[in-house]
Amino acid sequence: MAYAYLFKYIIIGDTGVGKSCLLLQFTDKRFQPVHDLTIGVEFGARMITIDGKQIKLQIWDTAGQESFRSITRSYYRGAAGALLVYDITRRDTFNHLTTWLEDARQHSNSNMVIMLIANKSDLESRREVKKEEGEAFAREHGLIFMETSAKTASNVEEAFINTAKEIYEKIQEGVFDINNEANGIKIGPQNPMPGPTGPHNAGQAGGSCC
Amino acid sequence: MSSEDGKTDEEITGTSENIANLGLSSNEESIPEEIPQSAETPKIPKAAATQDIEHVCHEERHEECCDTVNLEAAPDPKPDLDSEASAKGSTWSTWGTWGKSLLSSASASVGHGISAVREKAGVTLRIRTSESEESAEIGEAEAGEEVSVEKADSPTEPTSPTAGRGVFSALTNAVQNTGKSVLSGGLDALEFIGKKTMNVLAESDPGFKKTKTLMEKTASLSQMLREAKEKEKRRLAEQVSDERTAHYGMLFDKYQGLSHLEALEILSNESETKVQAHLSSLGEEALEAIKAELIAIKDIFLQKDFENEEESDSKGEETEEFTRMLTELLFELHVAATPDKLNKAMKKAHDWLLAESLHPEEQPETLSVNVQEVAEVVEDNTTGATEVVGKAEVKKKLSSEDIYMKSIENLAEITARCIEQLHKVAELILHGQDVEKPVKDQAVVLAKLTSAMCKEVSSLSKSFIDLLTAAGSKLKAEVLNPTVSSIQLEGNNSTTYIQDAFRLLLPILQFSHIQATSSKA
Repeated sequence: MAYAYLFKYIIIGDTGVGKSCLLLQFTDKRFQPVHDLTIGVEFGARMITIDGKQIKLQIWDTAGQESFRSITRSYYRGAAGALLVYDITRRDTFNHLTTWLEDARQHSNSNMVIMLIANKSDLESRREVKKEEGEAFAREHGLIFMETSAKTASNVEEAFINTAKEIYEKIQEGVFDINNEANGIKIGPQNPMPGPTGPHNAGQAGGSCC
Repeated sequence: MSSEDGKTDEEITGTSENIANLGLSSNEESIPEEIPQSAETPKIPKAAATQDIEHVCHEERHEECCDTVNLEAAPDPKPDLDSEASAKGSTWSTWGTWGKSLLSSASASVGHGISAVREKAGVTLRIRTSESEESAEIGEAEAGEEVSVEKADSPTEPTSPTAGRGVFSALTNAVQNTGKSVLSGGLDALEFIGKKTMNVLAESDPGFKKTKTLMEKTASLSQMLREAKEKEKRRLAEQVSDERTAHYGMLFDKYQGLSHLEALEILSNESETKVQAHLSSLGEEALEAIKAELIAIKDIFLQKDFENEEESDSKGEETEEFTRMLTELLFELHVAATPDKLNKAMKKAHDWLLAESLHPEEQPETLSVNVQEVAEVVEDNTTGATEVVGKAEVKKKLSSEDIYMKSIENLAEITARCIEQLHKVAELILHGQDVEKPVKDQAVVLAKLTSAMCKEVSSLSKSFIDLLTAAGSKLKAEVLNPTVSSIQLEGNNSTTYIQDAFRLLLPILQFSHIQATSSKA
């Protein structure tokens, strides 16, 4: 149960690109073809292992609708990683990436790891954005890139985990100051204090204390 | 607390009121303080989970306002010389008595000296301290010390002083004891005086008090809760994996209660900043006008009538009543927040209560033996074994242990959902394109909504307790009571969290009001 680190993630991108579905696939391993519009922000959490260390991902899944932007921007701060998602079957979602990126860079810390996700890779027949285009955009802006399908679960694990790996590496390199919680990283309660603070840790059955 | 409210109210009506007073944060009962106060229900044996939260709060207070002082957490027993001396007196025998007595009386007198200093300091300081809470706390701590000393003392007592080296070991023992007690006694006294002094300072110096609250404010509510949860987790990791314990904090987090609270806090803080920014941009006249309106909104938040004035004992169809009210109130708010998740959680809890309450009557005679067994096992504190016995038991009836666990889980889930609901409302209010409803009315509705939530939660926790008491009627009181009071406590905490979340809405509504008025203009 104990974890070495906790990383805060945000998922951003246009409405309907599959942000909530990606999260659901990652946390619950299931797919919901029809998803309610996200209001403000929703949450998910999962434990992963990197380099033998347990890492808890706390994921903030934001609303994609334009009208929620001013609210969701408030949630960017203090995120260690961001998944910027577009839909390969809708070119406009790809065209909006620059705005999203600017927004994210402006309202979060500069070290935030951003993963560009081209979702709905299962809908090859309706593809409007080529993989190469996504790759080029990512290269240009220094992002990690991955094509995923929340429906088939293809690359979903990888997307979340690779982002975490990148963050983890940055920690090892000393880029992230893990003691500054504004970076979206928290050190887990992994080092148990040997001295129990009292006799009451025997569980609820034992202890009436006063 | 209510008197403090009065104070702030006066401040509000006063003419030289500054901008910062518009928020609840300037109030005495700023949120971080809120929890310890309400969780401090004295004399209730606390369950592991809540104790943690409380500890964190306490520690935070102490750490922040008086660095080294930490009465609760001090793990080493502090020898109280009074009891030591008397304990020794009874066991003294022939050999080496004089040497020992000399030393121990020396140590006793040193100890006396110290405790006299402590007492004196305590008395003088206490005179100036009006708060009985503090002294009660210290009294408790001292009582705790004495008990632990008596235990810790017995092994150091030489069992047979008649033996040849008895004198010597008794002597070294006594010397060691003296050294230790002088040292720890001294530290103790210093700590005690330090703490008291800080408290007195805090009481007499309003400036200091402000700094103190400011310092306390820096730790946000969700931060505190998160720390409490982490501490709990740490402890859980130390425990045997099989042992099942109900951890309210962890469950609350599992249902994303913490995350919603954190997000709500972010929105609240940002709104507060925006309100301040707007106000400082205004001219005198406009400022006075809008200030009056914002204060009117604040006053609605300060009304205490939503704190369960009468607790109706109506049961049964209450879920539907609550669901109806919830939907109605949310509709009244003119925001599109559907209470699906909260309703589902409520229904789950009520369905479970209903299903459980049907069973006890058909409990066969033979079961009573099993229940007795469970009681004994629990008493022996090998909770792991309870499960085995519990499984051997009839499947359709849950053990009181299970009922306890489920009750805590339900409370945690419902509270998380209530906070989620309030968070959603906040988001929708901020999102709100054209607010048809005046913010003041929205505030009233939200106050009602919060009140309904709190009432529902406390009535549920009551039902849980009833169920637990019925199921555990054959258990010994020592086994049953802690679980009962734990549910009670978590129920109280739940309402506190909900009310805290409600208070976070104030800046959001104020900002919404500013937006609405400026768009009109």
